[in-house]
Amino acid sequence: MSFKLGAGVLALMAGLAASAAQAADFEFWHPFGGHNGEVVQQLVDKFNTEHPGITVNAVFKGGYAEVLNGSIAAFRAGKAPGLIVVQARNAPTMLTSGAALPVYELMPQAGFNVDWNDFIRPALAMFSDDKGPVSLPFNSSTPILWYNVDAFEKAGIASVPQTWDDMEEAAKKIKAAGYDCALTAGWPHWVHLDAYSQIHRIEVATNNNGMDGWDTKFTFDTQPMYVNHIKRLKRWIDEGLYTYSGRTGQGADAAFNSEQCAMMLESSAAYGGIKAGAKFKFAAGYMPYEKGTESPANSLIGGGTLFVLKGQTDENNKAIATFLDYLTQVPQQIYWHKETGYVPISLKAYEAAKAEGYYDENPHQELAILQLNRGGAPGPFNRGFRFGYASQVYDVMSEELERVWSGETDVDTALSDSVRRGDEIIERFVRSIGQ
Amino acid sequence: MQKRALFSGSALPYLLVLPQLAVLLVFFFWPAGQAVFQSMTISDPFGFRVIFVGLDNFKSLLSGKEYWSSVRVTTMFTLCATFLSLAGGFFMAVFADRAIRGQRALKLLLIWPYAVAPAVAGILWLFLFHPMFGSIALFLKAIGVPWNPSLNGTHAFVLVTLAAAWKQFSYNFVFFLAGLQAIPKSLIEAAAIDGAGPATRMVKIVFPLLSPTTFFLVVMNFVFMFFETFGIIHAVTQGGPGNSTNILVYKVFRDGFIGQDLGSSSAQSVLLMIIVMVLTVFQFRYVERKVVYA
Repeated sequence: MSFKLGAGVLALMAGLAASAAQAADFEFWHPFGGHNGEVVQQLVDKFNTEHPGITVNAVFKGGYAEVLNGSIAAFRAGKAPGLIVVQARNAPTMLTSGAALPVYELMPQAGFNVDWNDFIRPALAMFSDDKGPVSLPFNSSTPILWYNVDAFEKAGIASVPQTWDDMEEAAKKIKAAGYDCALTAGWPHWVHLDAYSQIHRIEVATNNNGMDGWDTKFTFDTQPMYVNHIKRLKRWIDEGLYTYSGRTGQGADAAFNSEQCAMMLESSAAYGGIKAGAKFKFAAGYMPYEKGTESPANSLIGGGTLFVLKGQTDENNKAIATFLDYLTQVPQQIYWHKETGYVPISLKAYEAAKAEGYYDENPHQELAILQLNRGGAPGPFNRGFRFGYASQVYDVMSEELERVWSGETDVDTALSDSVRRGDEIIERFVRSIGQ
Repeated sequence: MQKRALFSGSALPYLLVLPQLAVLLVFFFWPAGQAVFQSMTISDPFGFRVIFVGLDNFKSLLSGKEYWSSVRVTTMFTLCATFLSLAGGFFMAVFADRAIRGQRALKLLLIWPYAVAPAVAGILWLFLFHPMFGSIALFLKAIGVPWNPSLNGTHAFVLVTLAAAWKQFSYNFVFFLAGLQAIPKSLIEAAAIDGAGPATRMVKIVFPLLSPTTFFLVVMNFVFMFFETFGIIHAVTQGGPGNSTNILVYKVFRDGFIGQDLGSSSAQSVLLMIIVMVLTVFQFRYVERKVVYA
């Protein structure tokens, strides 16, 4: 209790301090720890120096969930931060909340003319409503294939696997070369359901995967390609070609960096960790696709996006807009991209990095951008996903898949169970938004 | 004859318990009331729309098999971890009680785990048993045990149960040791002279005399396993793989704070509150009858 009292006193003091200050200042809550946290702080410090009169207070709140929960609690108490980073999958929570100030309103009001056409399309598609982009894409990434070059040489693999058939062949060779684990994946749900279905333009749920309406029903259990993919993964696990390392990227990263696993399907933003941790030569390739796919589509965006919360003064909103504009500028984007492995969100920044010759030395850094931008404008079933209570939906799917991997149940039962449970969750969400 | 201390006025005693009542009101009754109200609503996380749905949240929970699987997991987990930590604590207490040299140091070392926060305890065990880098996990693999708690539900369950039991066993140790030391040596010696062997003395004298302690510890351990193990689950398995370690209190957190479904989460915490209340009443009414307060 003394802690709560202490916190209350601190909050009170902070409130007094805030009312004493004349100039604009707002809080920016983010989930970046470690190296990425330092990079964010650098960006914020530079902004604060260049803009006297505006103070951005960057606060590291823990993970994505802590940022969102903290923001919700603060919002309900009338003390919301001005700007927050929200995980891509939770964007729907914000889009329907009525708590977000859309950037398509904020930016023009503050006098900034943003060329949205210059933004990476899959990112923008995920975070827009029918009037325009509601949030500003910031830390965007996409899954790619990371591989251990030394292991490839040892196993005699000449070219980077392109298709899932190539993957099987490569995995067998790696196994034969003495590796315990040929292939693993970080965020397996994102890789094997989300990215897989986007690349092959497979319908996962009705209403164009939720993009055209909240009231959706899941359909992935009736998609032969997807069902076969899961069955193949199960077979690979049984044959020792694929290793499951948990729902997040932590286990996969550790296995890849310690040379236990020779291939890893993981976020392009795993780059920072691999660069720091791997003591071998590594490289990357595109996410594999099925043989016979004529033009694999763009893969799915992941990572986080910036939402502006309502409830700030006009002064502060203007300051937030200024900060957002600063973040989208080329120098900041290039710095962020190079340091973290997240993709630059504007094509201008990408071209500038390319002109510098950055990708000649770091070709894997360009892969993610090319993969996100390929296949023309995103069409049906590859514009992204929009599911209410998304975290719960994804938890359910991960749970059911884990049951398959451990042999507790078979693929068909698990998929129909996750569709049933997922539909129930969506129904609750639709009720909660009063539709 | 009973001794009674009587206050002349009636205001003073109420005044004296007022601070405690105020604390209870603010930190227990008010939030509990909120939870009961919220459990009958569906609302968006930001609280703009609150829709009253009566008992729908409870209905959908109790009719789905997921909630019951969580109940099963919680029951198994609580029973196993409580048994392990009680047995471990008792075992160590018996030996520490007999230790001739270094008893103080031994006691101190055995109490240490209690000072470790549940989340930290979880991380410690995870470091030992992580399938990729845990030293014990690597040893298990080397001797041919396919240890993988991130995929095998039983392994994950064993891991969190061990971590929880380890964390709580110190607490039990302290109480058992105190209980053992309070048993008059003369009783034990008299029994020995009458020809009772160590096992008989344990069953006929030590167990009955320790029963109040044991009863108290069972209640405390149940409460600990139900609520405080949240940190261990969160740090080690996040409820997975599958649903194999998704205990009730963790499910409340996951559905409410990660899943943003506050209505269902509140309904679950109301159910949890009822379960613990029933359990405690049951323990005091039926189990306590068998307890001998010497």
